[in-house]
Amino acid sequence: MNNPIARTVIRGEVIDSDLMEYPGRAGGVTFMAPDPRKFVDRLPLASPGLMADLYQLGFEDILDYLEELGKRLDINSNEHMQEARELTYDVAPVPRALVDLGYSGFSSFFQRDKVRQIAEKSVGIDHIEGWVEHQLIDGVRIKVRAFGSRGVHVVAGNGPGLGMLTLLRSAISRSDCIIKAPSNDPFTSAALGMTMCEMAPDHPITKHFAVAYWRGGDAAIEEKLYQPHNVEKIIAWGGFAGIKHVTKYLQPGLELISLDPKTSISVVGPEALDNDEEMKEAARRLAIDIGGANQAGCSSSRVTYVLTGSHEDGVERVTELAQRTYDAIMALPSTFSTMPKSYDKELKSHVDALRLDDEWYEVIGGERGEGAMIVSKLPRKVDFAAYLADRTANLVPVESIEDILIGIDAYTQTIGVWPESLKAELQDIVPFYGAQRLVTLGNALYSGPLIGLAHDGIEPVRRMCKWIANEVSEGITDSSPLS
Amino acid sequence: MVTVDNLLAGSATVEESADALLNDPLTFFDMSLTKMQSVPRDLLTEVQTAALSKRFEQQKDRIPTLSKLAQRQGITEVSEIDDVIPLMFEHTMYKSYPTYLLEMGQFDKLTTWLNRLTPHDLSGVDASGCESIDSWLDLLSSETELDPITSSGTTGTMSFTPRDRSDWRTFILGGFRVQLLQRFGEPPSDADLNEPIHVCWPSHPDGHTPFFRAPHYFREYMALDSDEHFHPMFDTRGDTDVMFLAARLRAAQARGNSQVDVPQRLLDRREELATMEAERPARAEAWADILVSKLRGKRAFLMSPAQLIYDVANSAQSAGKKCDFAEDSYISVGLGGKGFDMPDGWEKVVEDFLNFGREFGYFYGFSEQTGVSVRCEHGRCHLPPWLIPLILDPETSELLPRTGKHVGRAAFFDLAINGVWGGLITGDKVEIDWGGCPCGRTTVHISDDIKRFSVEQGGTDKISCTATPEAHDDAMDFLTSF
Repeated sequence: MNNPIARTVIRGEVIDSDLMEYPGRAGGVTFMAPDPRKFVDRLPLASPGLMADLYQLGFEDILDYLEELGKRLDINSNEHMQEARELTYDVAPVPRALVDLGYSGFSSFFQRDKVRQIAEKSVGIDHIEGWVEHQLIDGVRIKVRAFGSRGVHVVAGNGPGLGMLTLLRSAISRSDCIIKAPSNDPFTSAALGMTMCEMAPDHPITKHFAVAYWRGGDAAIEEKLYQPHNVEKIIAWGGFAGIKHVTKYLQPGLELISLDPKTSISVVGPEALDNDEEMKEAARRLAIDIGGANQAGCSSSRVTYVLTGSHEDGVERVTELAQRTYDAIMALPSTFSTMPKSYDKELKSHVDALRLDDEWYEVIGGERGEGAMIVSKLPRKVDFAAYLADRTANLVPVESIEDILIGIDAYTQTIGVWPESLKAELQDIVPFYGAQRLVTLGNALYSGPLIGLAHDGIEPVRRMCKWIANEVSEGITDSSPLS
Repeated sequence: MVTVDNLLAGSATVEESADALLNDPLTFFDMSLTKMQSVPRDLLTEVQTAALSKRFEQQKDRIPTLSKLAQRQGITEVSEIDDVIPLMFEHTMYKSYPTYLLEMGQFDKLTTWLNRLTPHDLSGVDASGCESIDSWLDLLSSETELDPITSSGTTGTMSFTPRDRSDWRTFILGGFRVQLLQRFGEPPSDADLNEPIHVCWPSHPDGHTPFFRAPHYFREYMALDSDEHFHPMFDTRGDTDVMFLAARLRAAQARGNSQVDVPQRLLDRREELATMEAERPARAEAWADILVSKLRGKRAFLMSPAQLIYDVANSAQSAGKKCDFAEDSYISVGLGGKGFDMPDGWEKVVEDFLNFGREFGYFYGFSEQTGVSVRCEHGRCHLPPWLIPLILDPETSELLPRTGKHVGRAAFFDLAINGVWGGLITGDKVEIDWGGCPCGRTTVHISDDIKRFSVEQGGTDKISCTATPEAHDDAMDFLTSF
């Protein structure tokens, strides 16, 4: 069988020559891609002045482009995307049905009103479209505009939509965008780029978009590209090692926007343990946040803290809640949650060890690799919480908010809370420790905020912009160093 | 007493030999490397299978965790090697207690937990008064047959494997003294068996991590309890509580978490620890002097992680010092495996300093079991005859065929170990060869290129033997610098 080709797309042109082989890593597929040494010089924008054509576009023109592109990305008709999806089935950690789910939403991704909302809520369309004037108390008028920048995006490979999200962020901020494709999905962003080339090869947005694959850490490529005269921002998704590696290229004129890896938790109040009905509702909501998309997302819940309140039989009731949550996960529709393709080996060894322990833990399910609930009998999460995956969660009975705070750190993203009233006790404390988003339990996977708004409190779109001030003073202002 | 000679001569049955092997493998093999490595493969497999069956029968009602696992699996007897696969323990079993207990110093509860992993009865041990990990392990080893070892991981956890004293004997006397000092094909000399050997150890002489506890037994089985023959670099014990702090600090750093409580006991010792740190270079120099002058022409046993011996060699070399050990010494400088960033040309510096005419030795072993697999002149690590290799498919965890060559996850059944259940699945990726080896040893052999699966998948979860001193140092820096 011929190895599949991950094409390079540079500013309206598709490249599939000078192919070299990249052996699959860590279960990935072996593929061919153009030799990056042959095209690295063409990746960056030749001159910063070439940003000007993006400023010939009005915001409505950007919406027109994206809306039309969205229609063409429909997985039912777009052959490039179908091919990318086909190649993803084998390498994705999730089963086929969930890969399909990932590709199915592409046609609605760029809906006009959604894109407009994202631009408005993340940056403000007035700042994108022109100079916004403020008057300072000393009479100076200051005009501010958000300009786009030239960025390299090192995107993650755990979701097919990340290339589209990157394009969206770049287009609305009028930024120049180079995507470094990940080795575990070098195809989907390229399929996006090819669709753009077919639709409008000479459009400024197409001309400011490139996708390429090179081996992460290939110094011959990165030392050339990661220079302030080529790019101003590196937007990197990734873990400790990947981010550490990029930092060596940082210098004045080249900054890093780090989209850190995250995990998420849930917090449930004692009401959930009161009676049958309350328990059922909490279990239903937990099942969605834990089991949805097979727990593959950073917003998927992995540890649930349950406040036992005045219940003396707290551990027994939490075990009952865990059983119901397990049952509810097993009953989720298969297009939303299904038997994992292969259960993580390291995790299994941890779970199996606890299964033989009656004193500190109770394990529900997991013998078929379908997912499991682990109930801690002490107020602490399991020591291997970082490995929880494949529909496996840890329920921890706790007596106080303090016990929950111990489980929150810089990696904690979403906290799903139930009932809603419990948030009042958490919302002004948890940010000290590292959480970035509170949701009503059952809504952790709602992706609006991730795509449009703060993205883990990181505000990537605002930071992709260069915020330029234009100050208008009458005469020489008193506070000037000259006075 | 039945020995392997009786088996080969037909004067002992397979069953009798299996009993003798379980009872004391070193006596069964007559303290001889050559005898260990010369039993025809089929016959050895027969004895191993019989011994495995007996071992399960012995332990199944004595190790509570094993009883529970066997019950869950519906297994009541082991008659073939394959039968034991569902009963293998993952390495995670030995850290399956809540770390919370350790942080809170609830050593009585930890004793209860440990009691389920060993056939030794710990119910009479009252650990409620223990205030540190070291004091708890001291208590266990003074009041019971156990002498457990710990290891810490970068996720902030610590494992406890309840080895007993007989296991240490098998490991150090059988694994190291017999296998490393003798030559295959020759009977052991009187000196090999009965004379003290100079032990050169580049760290603390005692403690409860494998790296700190091994020298305690080197002193017993290599130096034959002679202080004249025991040369550790330091004279104080390595501190297990500092190692646990090291593990938690690393985990906290990686997670952006500042919530690490330092036990008062360690805070109280800051001055003492700082003094020890300050004395380190002088102690390293004094140690190098012993190696160079006092051990000239002597039979020495030197084992070191590359980094430690390199540091010593580097400064000794600039002072023009060189060792000159006897030709029948044993030296290994790669302890703890590869994967450490070493300066270019470090081997030459170490070789020049040690000035040893023979090749440095290499072996594969780990602290949870007694088996040490020593590399032969053809670069293959031969398993000791009391170790049954069970190499598993890395994806499906099914047993790979016991013929030909395979790469997989290493699991072993250690027939010799008494303090814990012998079945263990490691995190190591090995290549095994069931065919013969040109060196003439009859046992199964594995490649000397051993990797950890977790490292391949992009990270390491274990502070290895090599990183132990480094992690210890990190924690010491932390303790003495705020």
